[in-house]
Amino acid sequence: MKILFFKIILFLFPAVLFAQSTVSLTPPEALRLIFKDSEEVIKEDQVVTSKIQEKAKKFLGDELPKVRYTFFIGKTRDKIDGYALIDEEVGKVLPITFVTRINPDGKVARVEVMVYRESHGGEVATKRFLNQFRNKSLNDELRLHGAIVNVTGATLSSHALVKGVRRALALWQIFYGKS
Amino acid sequence: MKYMIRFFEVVFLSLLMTTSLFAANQGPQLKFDEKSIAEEKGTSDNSKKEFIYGAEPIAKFGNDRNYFKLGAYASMRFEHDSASGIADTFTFRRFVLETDAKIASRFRIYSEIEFERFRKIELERDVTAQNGGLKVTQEIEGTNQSEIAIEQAWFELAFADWIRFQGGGVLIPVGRFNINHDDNLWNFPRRSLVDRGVPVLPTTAAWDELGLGLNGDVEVGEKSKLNYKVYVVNGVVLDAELEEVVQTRSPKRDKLELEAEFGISTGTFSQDIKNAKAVTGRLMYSPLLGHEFGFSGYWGRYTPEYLVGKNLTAVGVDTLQVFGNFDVEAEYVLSYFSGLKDVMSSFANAVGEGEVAVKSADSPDLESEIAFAPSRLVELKQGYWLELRYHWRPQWLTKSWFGKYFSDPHLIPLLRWEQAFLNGRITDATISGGQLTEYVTQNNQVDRLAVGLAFRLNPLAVFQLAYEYTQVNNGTPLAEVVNYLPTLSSQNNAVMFGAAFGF
Repeated sequence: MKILFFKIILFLFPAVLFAQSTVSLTPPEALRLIFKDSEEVIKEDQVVTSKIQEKAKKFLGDELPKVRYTFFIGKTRDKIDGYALIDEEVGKVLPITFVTRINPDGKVARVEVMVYRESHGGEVATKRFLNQFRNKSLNDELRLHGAIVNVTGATLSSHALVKGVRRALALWQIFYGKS
Repeated sequence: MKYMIRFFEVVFLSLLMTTSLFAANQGPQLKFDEKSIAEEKGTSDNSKKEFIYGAEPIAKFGNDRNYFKLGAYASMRFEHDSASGIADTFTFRRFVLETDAKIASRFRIYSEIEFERFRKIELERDVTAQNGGLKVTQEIEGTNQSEIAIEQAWFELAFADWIRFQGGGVLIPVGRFNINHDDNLWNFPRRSLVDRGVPVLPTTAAWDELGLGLNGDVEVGEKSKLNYKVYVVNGVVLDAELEEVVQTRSPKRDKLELEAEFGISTGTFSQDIKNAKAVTGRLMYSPLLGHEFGFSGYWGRYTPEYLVGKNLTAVGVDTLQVFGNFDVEAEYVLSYFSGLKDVMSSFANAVGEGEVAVKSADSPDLESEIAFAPSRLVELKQGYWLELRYHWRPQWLTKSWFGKYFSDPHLIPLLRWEQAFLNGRITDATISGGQLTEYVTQNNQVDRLAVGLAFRLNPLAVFQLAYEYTQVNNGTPLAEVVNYLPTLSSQNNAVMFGAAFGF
């Protein structure tokens, strides 16, 4: 009976380890995850000039908080598979670090939370929430209570990710969009 | 049994090995030095440190693993009521100070202190020797309806997402409003009848009790989620409030009265005068994000030890349904105080005489009286609210001055319909010679319709405009069934403008 009890505990213990709300992906891990089908990933630093700030304000109604953004481009045999931006936005208390992958047509392919630091509200890091961003483009409906449903009890974290993904789409449009 | 255990062992080990194999897959080649990317973005020196909403918490001390955050929410409103006896007024609804401390990666401490309609409390005390004796003077000064209360104060040890150990002053999870009651998260400038105005909940939101329990979230597949909360708590209790009245009357004698009013109160944070605990819990199932179904309950003794033992049972059903810009949210609560008449008989036996007054022959100018009476006791209460909201982002607003300075300004037209049914509301209970000589109850129904328009600057701040119509059946005065309209009228039209914000 004791051995059975011990085996049950051993069987359940990984559930404790795996069921953690704090996601932890380093930038190389995140890039390998979202570009897993690409042959290579290159990086391009983009500087935010005053003209870029003006364009961003038109898209977002707000200034960009950084002076430089680094885009990562996944390629397979010289064909661009997609673009990615690693960024952060404060939820209720602490920044959430996340990566947004954007297809060459300017729509979101995938969003992954790399680091979630808050003590609660970690459900925004789950596929249940993040899958809502797939195939979304930058428009007025890409908002909470619009195309994105917030997580009850984690409105600020939900809002932060919406804001961050909108910023990623706007930056892609500015630096790589055709129009 | 032996073969079943062996089977699970084989399955578990296979899963473990397969996971390891997948982890070994390298992915694409990164054509840059991995060290050139900062390990955590946002720490590089290229970030501008200018303050933008959301960029930095206003008051936070510590680091990612251990921090202390100070926050708050507050609300106020102006209202005009048509019913007699109610003046137009500004009301400072509440200011709630929040502290949130993470002292280890899986240990959190949280508290809320509420200042409701609070302006000041001032105490003056003086002891002087004079006229051959000692004079002690005590003066308490404060504004009407001022209240300071601990709304929450708990610790939480998170073993995993699916099991967290929580203890302290916790919010009782009956319905969905009580556990998510911050004023700035809602769009009407007044709380519902169910949670506050009557209330149908055993006591007004925010309802917290001292106890211990567990809570957790379980993901069911990729899209669904279960959340549970279960606690053992001290629980609500029939308790006394002492009311002092000084009254001039003509031609009757002036009056000095001390009245002990016995009503339902939140449980104590020290000696439990019931010597019996209550259990409470909620199960919420969300098949998809934006669709939630909650089932909740509470059961426990509500009478103190010196009265006959009787139980309170409360149940709640609630839902949230989001369809794009359109939300529907609703809650139903039932509270049943079993054996209320038996409780009053037991009360009569304990009190002896409900009213004792000094006769006019002994004191021709002043009537001194003590009294013991029930206060707002109802055997069975049930009620619901249904709220419809539409999130509207017209271009003229998002491209206006508001859109420039706020992250998501939008308008929310909304409607709330609510009803409360009170069965067995005690209107008269006469106590004489240790007996309940008279016990009169009434059944009442309260209806309220509210329509409004909220202007939300961002998730934390909102301006609210609303019209509200309230009525009670049987011509009963509103003052007898709701706790916020001190009027003898049975109907009221109200127009309100409010503001609620938090940080």
